[in-house]
Amino acid sequence: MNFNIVTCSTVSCLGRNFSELEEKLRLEEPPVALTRDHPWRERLQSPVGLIDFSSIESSLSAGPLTRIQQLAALLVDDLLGQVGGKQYFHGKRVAVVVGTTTAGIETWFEKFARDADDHAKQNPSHWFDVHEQQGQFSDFILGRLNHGGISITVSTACSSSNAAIIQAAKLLELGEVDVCIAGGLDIITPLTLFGFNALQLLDKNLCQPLTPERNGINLSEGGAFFVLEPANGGLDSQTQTGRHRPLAKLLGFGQSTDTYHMTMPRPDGAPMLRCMQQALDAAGWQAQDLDYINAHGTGTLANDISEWQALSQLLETDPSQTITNNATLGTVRVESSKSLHGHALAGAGALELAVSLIRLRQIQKKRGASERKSLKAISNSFGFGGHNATIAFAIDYDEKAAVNSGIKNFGNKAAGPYSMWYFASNYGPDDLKTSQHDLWRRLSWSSKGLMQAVADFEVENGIQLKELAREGKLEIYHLSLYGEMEAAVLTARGIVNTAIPVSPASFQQSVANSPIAYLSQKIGFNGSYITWTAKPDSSQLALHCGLNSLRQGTADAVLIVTTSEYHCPAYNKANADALCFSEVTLLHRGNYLKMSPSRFSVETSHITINTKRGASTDRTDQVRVIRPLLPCDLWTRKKKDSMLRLTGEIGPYAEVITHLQHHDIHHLYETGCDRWLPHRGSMLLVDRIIRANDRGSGLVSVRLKPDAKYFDQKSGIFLNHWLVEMMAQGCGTLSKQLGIHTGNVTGDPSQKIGFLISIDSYELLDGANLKPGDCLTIVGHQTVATPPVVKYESQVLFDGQIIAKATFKLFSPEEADG
Amino acid sequence: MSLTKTNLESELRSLIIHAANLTQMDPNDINPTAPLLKGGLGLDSIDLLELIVSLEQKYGLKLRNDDAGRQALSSLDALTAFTWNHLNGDGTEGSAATTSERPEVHHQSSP
Repeated sequence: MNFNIVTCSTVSCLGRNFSELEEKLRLEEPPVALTRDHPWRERLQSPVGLIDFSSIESSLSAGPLTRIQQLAALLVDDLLGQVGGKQYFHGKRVAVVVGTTTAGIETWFEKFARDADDHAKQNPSHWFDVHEQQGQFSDFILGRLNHGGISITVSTACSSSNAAIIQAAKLLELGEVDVCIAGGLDIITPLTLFGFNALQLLDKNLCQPLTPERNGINLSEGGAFFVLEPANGGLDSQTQTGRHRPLAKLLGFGQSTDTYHMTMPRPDGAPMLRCMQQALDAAGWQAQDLDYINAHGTGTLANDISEWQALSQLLETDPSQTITNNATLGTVRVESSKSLHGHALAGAGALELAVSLIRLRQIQKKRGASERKSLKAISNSFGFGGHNATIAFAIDYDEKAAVNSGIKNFGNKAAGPYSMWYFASNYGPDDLKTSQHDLWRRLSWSSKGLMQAVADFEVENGIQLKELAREGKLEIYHLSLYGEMEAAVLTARGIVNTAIPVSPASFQQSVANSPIAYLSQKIGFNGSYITWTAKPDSSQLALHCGLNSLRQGTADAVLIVTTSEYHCPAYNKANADALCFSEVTLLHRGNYLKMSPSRFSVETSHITINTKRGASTDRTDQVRVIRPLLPCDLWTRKKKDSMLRLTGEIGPYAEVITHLQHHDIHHLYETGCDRWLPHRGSMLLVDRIIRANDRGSGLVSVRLKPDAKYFDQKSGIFLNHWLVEMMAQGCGTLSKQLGIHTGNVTGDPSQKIGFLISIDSYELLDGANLKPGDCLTIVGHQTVATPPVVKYESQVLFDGQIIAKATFKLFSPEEADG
Repeated sequence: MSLTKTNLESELRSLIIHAANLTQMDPNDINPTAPLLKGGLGLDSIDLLELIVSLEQKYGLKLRNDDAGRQALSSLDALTAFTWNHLNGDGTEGSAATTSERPEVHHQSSP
């Protein structure tokens, strides 16, 4: 691999752009930008690295932005300035791949703190606005570019930046996109600050990473974004922006998983060593070729000793040599720059890549112009969940050397066909309590759901993931829909209420990658996983990337797991009224696993993935697809017997994948059902699509409004017969949104007539005493489509239970067009 | 009314059960002389952290990563004695953290 790091924008406590950072680092004794004078100083002594916002706010003209959005806007605008404006991206396929752990959690926390005593509002989902979802972070950046494209938010705790840069490199390597904005950013929030404090990880004094005196971390905020492009494209070929050299080359990466402990690294540092070695192999370098290593070097007792062990082995130096920051191991300078700028969490990897580029320039200058040659470096980032990521890069890289540099991250293309195994489940608390083991009692809803779904998946399909992890090249994509909200709430309680201790166990689980970290421990998976905070298109995109990994031969099998909490309105009552939704999908090369599916029907369908513009590069593969129709089996919380098992026909997947890359369907989920229905005002009964698939099935949400027609205005009693219309509107929405998948949306879909033709059956199962403010979920399952008539099976869920179900026919002209 | 040593032990039993989320277990079933860790109650590193923050919150007790801290968390009896001494101010509680040893009580991380 060989990518240009075209430009860099960075912000941290050391400065608000690359040249400010360079200026500070050029000093003989660079300033330590960590301060005890922070807003939380009365409760917490540890120094913090804060960004000076006073000059940033005034420079941004856009409307009200959250703190992290302000920083992201600053970085994007800086990049745009360097490449000559937005037109740089015109006509290019763009991906934004960025890491964060905090995103909008800051405003979420403010609302939580405000309502902390209000028990009616103790539902984790209560404070959740769209912009606070981590998945929205990359969308915000893409929006700032005013450009469509792939947008991925990576959240693997403190390795997020490096993981995002690696993900971007993979997309470029596969020819999926022409240019990437990659990097990471985090801000300081009370949640992270007090969470780390509860884990006993903060140094009360200035941190001293990679020294015997080290005693913990200083946290900070910041990060960096980079424009990445294939070496043969980019600025070099852009006549309008001139022929200037890229900042550096990205030449390799490595990723590994500890399978040891949620927060403690494996003491011998072996997975860290493997990670660094992979990156070197990919770049075709020997460790001794390196000029500089930017260590993760947090300053904790455990990280630094593990990393030092790994570094000593990598560089074949004496591991008993005293740990020293700015050491020369062999001929390589090893540094943890966190002593200057603190630990910027998900922004750390990106910030430290910026620091590393400056360091390489300094080393070059010191050696003198006569010795001008390519300088090589790696930078480490290790995160909670035992997630390790190393990137390899160089300045003034000799292209001739690159040709002969051997090993690539991607091997030879592997032949199809590929198979897919699928499992989905929803679990309520009763299901989750049935298993008891040491880890179980600590797990969050989504982790438990994932464990259970995986266990069921294994039983149903006769697959042992443990064997797969041990024997084959397994790759894992983990999609977290809302992040770990329950764990965040449990952590936040102790922060806003000083009578309750801040729970370290909850905090360590609040990182989005905690479910997959537990799973990797359970199945002994030490390879490469990534956590995306998902948006509606994420599972299809993961499927797409997974298929490409199989095709490229970088994996024998790809596991895609989605797991998320769903909090019922009554969450606070028993502290247990939550559901979790988990999906497990396994892709593998057809001849790799020999299993007989027992559960779902098997069909062969063609998959066409448009990877390059122009029909000539379209590929068709045979894919065995095994999955139920609706991407979820809904298990009710209390009534296991009334479990819905929805199965049906199998459709072509790839059409969806291709279309998703060309249509931005996010607005569909944000603007709600009014986009799809002609109903307005009090006649519009449904709010928003929660999930939808490419076959017109999915979930729609409804929040009951006090002045709506379904409440008897005299008695205030809910009139149950309105549930039928509600189901019809929900299914109508699901049916119409299908147009976006098939590309048939023309004009304003809400102007097109659609109506209920007949009700074939209706059953009221539970006389729920519904009140204004209650949230209902409508399940719509399209059974027959003979355009313009479509048939639906539908259910209304309240508080995890089915309260009504019906089957009916709809007239839906959107499908008639198709 | 001041806390008796028996009441303190009873409080600590509940605190341990709560901190370690051992909801299925009766606090009275904790063997006071058995180790809290492996071979006894079987608490793990995160349980201990939960217990440490709870103890600090409830009794202002700061357990450090040193011999005294490890000794205090060796059994319920030891923890009761340690907390009792702390509350009655005989000043024998743990000293400042040492950095030369690998942690056993506190866990550390590479976030």
